[in-house]
Amino acid sequence: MVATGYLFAAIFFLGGCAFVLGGLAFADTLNALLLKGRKRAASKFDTYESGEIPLGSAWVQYPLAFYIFALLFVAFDVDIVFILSWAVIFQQLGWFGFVEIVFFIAVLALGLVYAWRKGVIRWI
Amino acid sequence: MIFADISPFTYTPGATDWLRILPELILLGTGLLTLMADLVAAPGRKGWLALVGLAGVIGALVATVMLWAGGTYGDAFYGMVNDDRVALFASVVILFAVGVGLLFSPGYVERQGIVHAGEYYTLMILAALGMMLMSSASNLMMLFVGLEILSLALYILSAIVTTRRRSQEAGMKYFILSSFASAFLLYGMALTYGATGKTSLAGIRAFVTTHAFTMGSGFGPLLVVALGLMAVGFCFKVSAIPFQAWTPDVYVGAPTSVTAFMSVGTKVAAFVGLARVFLFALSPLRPTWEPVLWVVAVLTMIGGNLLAATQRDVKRMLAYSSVANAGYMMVAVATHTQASFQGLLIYLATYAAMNLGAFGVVLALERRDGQGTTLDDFAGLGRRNPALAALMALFMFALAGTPATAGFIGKWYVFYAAMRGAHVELAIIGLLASLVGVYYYLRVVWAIYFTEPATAPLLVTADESAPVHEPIASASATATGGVALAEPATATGIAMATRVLPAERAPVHLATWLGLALAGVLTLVLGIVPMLMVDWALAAAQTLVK
Repeated sequence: MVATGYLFAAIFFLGGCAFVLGGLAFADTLNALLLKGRKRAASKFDTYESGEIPLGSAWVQYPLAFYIFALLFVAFDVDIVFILSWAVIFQQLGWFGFVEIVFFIAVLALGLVYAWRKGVIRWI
Repeated sequence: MIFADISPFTYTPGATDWLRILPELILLGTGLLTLMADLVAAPGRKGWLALVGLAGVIGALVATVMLWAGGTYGDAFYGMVNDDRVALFASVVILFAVGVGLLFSPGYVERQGIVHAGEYYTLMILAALGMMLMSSASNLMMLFVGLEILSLALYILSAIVTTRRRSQEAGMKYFILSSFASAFLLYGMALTYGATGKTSLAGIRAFVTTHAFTMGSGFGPLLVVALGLMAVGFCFKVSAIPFQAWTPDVYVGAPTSVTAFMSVGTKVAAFVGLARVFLFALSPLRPTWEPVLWVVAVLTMIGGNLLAATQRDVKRMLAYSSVANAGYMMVAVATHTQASFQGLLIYLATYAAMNLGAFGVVLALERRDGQGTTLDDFAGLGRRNPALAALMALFMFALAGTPATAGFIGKWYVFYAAMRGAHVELAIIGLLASLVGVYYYLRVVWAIYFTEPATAPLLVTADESAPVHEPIASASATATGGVALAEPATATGIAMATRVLPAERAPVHLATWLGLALAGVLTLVLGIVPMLMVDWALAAAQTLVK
């Protein structure tokens, strides 16, 4: 039984990959055949075709305060891990599990309120 | 087909489960409340948050006492926590510690200029929550979660004086070393699970009782390694030698109110956790772990006392003294009888009273720059501040183990249990080691009453309004035990101007007095009429060690 479950998961995974990759390939081909311009220009050979010219060293300083964004991101990332594992068996857990996860998210929301009020998520 | 035998998870907690963690829930609510209240509190006027926290602590205390009186003990939440009498006893001690710690805080937080006052109170309460969860855990997972809750809060609390380098250093040291120790503990727990297939303490106990333990058996070597790793983790948390290196630096660098609270609370939580794992779950493996803890107990008692005897800074001396005290408590664990576990609980309660008090006096004397806690600063305190001096003398006598104080009762029960439990040698070593303790505790009393400040108080800059350049000011302040208050630097860019006040003028906050009085009264009461506590400790010990 378990093996079948894994098989299904594998099929879904491969199917998903095929869908995305196939779609991309199809869109790219379509683009190349129908929509692509044929003009040759110097800007075609820039690093970024948007016209942005890469200048200077990549070793630039950026505000240290960004670590707080990173922390918030990690907090919500971990949040997702717990919610996902709850979602997998939420029917078995029933109302108890629901109340628990709501409580969990509520505490996290309080944390966000705290961070917000402290001016942590203000854009620098 | 590993997962084939897993039945659907159908456990649904009822009202009983929630009731059994009521004290923890109250603390959690209080913690979140202070966190939110901090957002609306005006900066610089956050002392009332301590009152909110204190109200929550008293509420949790009432709930704990009601649970004790109610008398339906048992597992809650699928065997994750257990509100047996051990947990309730430990909870009372932890709540006392955090209560007194909160009383110490408002004056100290203000004087030290701690910016994050709101977070400070929240983290104190959450640390207490972690301690209570750890001491009531009946599952290795819960034990670890409780430990992490308390540790994470304490890392931040140690480093919360952002303007003081030593505090930052303390937080960093504590964080790195303690995470390392947590990893050891966790690895030990994982191996225990690997060997027994259980994470619940009762399940582990059942497994090691029914399966013959030999090194030849499949799980034998695994369990021995697990025992060693868990012993390392726990010994670190209780700051037993040879894992004590972090203790003095962290205890000295952390704000004194935090040190007072964590030196007591962490010990309670970690020792009860240690007792639950070693005296209960792995009790059948006693011959394997007993020699290890024996060696640790002896090393800690001797080493802690000798190291403490060489200190001139009273705060650092108290840090080493807490190492030495961990040694006495380790004797109780190594002895492994019901009486010794009772002794451990009694020791924890008495230690809480006198140690909180001793750190409280240090806190009252500490200057804004974190200095002012050496023996020289205590010189002549008997005349400068008789009440503070008398309290310090009481706590020192108690820590030294003088009869009619709490310290005597604790040592008596631990050493008596060691003698009854066929560990006379541990009792003798402990008594000899505590003789060294008498020296360094009473040296403080000597400094307070029988020595004079190094220089005459006449040298104190009398004119308070005249700004003095920093080096001169701090030098004279250090020499005379005066109080240096830093003022904002002037725009002219001269070195920071300071004002020098005689030490008598350092006001001790009313709440600090209250905390000191509580600790003092408890030190005396537990020393003179300890029977009620002894009975409670016995009732608690009977539930864990059969």
